[in-house]
Amino acid sequence: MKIYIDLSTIMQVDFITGIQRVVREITVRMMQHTEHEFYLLTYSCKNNCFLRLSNERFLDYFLEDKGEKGAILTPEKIGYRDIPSGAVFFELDGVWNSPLKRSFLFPVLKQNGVKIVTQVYDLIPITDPKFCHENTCTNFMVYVGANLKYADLIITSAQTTIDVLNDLTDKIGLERKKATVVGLSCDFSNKNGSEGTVDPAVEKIAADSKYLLMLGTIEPRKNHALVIDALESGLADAGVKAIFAGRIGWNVKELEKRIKTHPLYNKSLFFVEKPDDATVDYLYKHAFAVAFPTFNEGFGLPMIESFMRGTPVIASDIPVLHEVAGDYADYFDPHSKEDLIRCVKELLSSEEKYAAKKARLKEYVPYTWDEAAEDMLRALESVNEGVKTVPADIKVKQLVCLTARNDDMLATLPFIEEFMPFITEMVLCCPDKNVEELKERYKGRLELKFLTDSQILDGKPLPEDHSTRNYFLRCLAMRNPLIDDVFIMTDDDYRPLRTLTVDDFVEDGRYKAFYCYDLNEWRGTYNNPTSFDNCMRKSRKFLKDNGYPTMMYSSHQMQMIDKRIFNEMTAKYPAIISSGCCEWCTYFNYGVGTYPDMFKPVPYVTMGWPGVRSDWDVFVQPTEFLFENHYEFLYREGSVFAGMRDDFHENVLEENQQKIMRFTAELQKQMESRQVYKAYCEAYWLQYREMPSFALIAGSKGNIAMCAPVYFQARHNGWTRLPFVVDRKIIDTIGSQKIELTHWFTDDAGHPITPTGRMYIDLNDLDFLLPVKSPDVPERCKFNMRVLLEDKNMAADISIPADIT
Amino acid sequence: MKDIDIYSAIYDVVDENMKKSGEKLSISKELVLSTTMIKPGKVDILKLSREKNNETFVRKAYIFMLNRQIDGTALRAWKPQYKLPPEEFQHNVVATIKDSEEFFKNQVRMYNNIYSENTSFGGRLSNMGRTAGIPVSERLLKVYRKMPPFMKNAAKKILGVKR
Repeated sequence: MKIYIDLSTIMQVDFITGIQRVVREITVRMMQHTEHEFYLLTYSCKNNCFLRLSNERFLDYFLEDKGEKGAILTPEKIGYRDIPSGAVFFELDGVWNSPLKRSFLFPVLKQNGVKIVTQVYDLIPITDPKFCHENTCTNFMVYVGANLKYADLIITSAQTTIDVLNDLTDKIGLERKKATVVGLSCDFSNKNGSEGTVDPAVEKIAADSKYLLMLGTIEPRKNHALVIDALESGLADAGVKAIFAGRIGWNVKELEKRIKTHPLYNKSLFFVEKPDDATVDYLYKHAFAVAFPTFNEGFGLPMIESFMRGTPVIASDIPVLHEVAGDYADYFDPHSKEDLIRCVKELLSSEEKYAAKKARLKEYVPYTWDEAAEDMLRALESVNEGVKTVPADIKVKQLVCLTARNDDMLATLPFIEEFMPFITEMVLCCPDKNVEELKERYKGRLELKFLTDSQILDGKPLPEDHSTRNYFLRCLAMRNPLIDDVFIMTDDDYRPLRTLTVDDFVEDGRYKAFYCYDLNEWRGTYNNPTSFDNCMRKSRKFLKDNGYPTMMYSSHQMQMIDKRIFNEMTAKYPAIISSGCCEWCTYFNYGVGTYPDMFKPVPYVTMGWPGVRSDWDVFVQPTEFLFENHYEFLYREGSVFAGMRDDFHENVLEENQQKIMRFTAELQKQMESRQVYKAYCEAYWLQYREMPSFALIAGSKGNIAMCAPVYFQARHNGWTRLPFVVDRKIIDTIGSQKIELTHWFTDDAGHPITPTGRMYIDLNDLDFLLPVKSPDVPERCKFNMRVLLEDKNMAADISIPADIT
Repeated sequence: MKDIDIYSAIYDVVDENMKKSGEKLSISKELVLSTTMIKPGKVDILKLSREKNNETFVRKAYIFMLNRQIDGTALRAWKPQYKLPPEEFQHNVVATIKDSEEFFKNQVRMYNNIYSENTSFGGRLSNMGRTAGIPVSERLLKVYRKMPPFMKNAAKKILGVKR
């Protein structure tokens, strides 16, 4: 199992307290389990991705206390979408304040079929927000919300937290989350656990005195004030001292002042700031008792740490502390100093009783970090246990194709015969008139079966729109018994490039789901959407409205379909049949969302999609090509496959390799253009602390202006997609309904060196990518843009230096 | 349940719990919900500029640009400027945050900074004023460059500029 852990917080902070200690102890122990692959991550805002940490150096630093923290970081970038299907994203660190909001990250991970397991330490910012900084509260709301929606499993340190979580989900009307308890421990993993030198000043304070120890960050929730009240009201007179040890936290200025100006300060009341582990150990061992008057807790680690050193604990009478400490601790009302005094005085009353209490603590069997790490790992493994998967010996013999073009179909069939030996049967869903010709002309080894339009439609009218028609036909065909439960769906122009097996469609007991885009990012043809673009938009809306992932699976290649799942989807959403959505996108996103263990989203493997570089920007770069999306125009003079054959012939395998090389080189040019643009943006940001932006804005006096960067840079003979924004005020305030945007490059003398790109702004899409074709050769020139509000007789233009590399 | 409805419901629970303790959340639900839309490492100033209430704008700007709520000291410091026209106020806020060490350290990428001093502008600039983010000196320079020579000399004399 691949386990990814975002350790951004522990890598950032320079202290190790409660949560960081848990993170450190659990992570270093889990990593000893070499049967799993661990990817330790930290978020990089600069790169907008994760950076990988070195496992070895992490262990050196956090286990062996060797090396520098900064050296743990490696330059290896891991994008959010690089975390593969089936992996577990383990949210162990306290990352709710991270700039990488889980409201953004988790939907992306779920689109990829990643399992999310979160350690919820407590829900205090929700239940007791007054005790938290409002910043934490705000971020925590979003963090918890994302977990309630997307986490596969919640781990808590106590059942009490699960109860609180259930109350929350019940209250907001959500299904209860799967949750389990894994307790925490207190034994130390690294050398500095209890070794080192104790601060002599602390030794002096602690020597020969009965003191109550309060260990942990000084913050309002911990209720230090109650101990001071109790000191004032009799405890100090009874010879009891109090030592507060920890960091100064949030919203405690008044308390800090009260401590440091108190008449008992440094007499009966002491403060040890940021004690090291050795000092903590010493303080625990020599304390009369540990006081834990907290109002709310997720676990109460100081109690366990105290038990481990044989020191009695007096604690707040709240459910979570009872759950963790049981009858080993004594309890008092955290709102009553009298009750606290009573509790302490009971311990003071009899030396025998006190000694018996200490003796009993020797029976306390602590839960170790080793056990905690084991249990946590088991919890992580559980998310992949007992799940429904695709049988390992799955047999698939059938290819199902929707076609209305006999020539295209007949040209593709020999490729299938040759490269897909496991396919013996081909179901062709086609117009009635096509059947006879196909039967007559096809002489190959495949058994052709036909599902004609009249058989499929059974009297129902055929929708006119291309996409709507396709979806409609496929849905109806899927209900026909002629089609196997599991088959491979294709179109008449999807051609295999080499020999394929069932394993090319199924992996790790999952149907591979080949995606080529995220529908949220898909722009399509700007201001002139095709039937395909509309189909994608409809699919995105359907998927978002119903809470499914939104990847684009219309990858123009063959994919394996389980028709039982497809039919389940259409039965659940009957209106979808004639909605004009995309069958590939809806089916696979439904599958990934509903049966995440049966589907494995992977990048697509299609050559010829997009057909040409100017069509759309590649979202995922295929790492291999198994299919060709056949376009006849790609074989014409001047095109990528010019001079090559597009029919089946005896050297087709060899020629396919050449085609792949040519197409890869073409794709590479697109990637280079993107790299140049990225480098330009980065350099621009470093210089100006802002990204190069192109915008049309409205002024306060009803005028307009173009905003553009100081300079522009692009790769020669390439396509760059510039983000362009139109201020909504142009439409809402100025009232323009017809905005023309033109752009072109000129030389130093002002002569155009590229054709003028011209387009009208889509008034419903004012934030778009402007495809700009750069000059054919590297040179320094000018990039010009002009906007014309045709109906308002207003214009703005701009000319900026352009460095074409 | 849609994501936004979950976040909204959680806000209501927190708000209720805060009120039970006799206190009040100072951050509005709208602002919390807007944070759920944050794409990591990016802030779009043009989109941010649609907020016309100056206080809400400065609160949003801190969250989107610095990934934190505005602190009391900063809020008090900005308060006297609430009476400024939104464009001017926004220009000041964006420029101040952009110049801060904290913003640089956070590495957040600023897009569509319509208040930028580094942006090239095309259009009827004289009407844009500060809205377009053109510093006064640059605007005067543009006017100066268009002057006939005798006017340029006169301007130099008035301003005391030596050759």
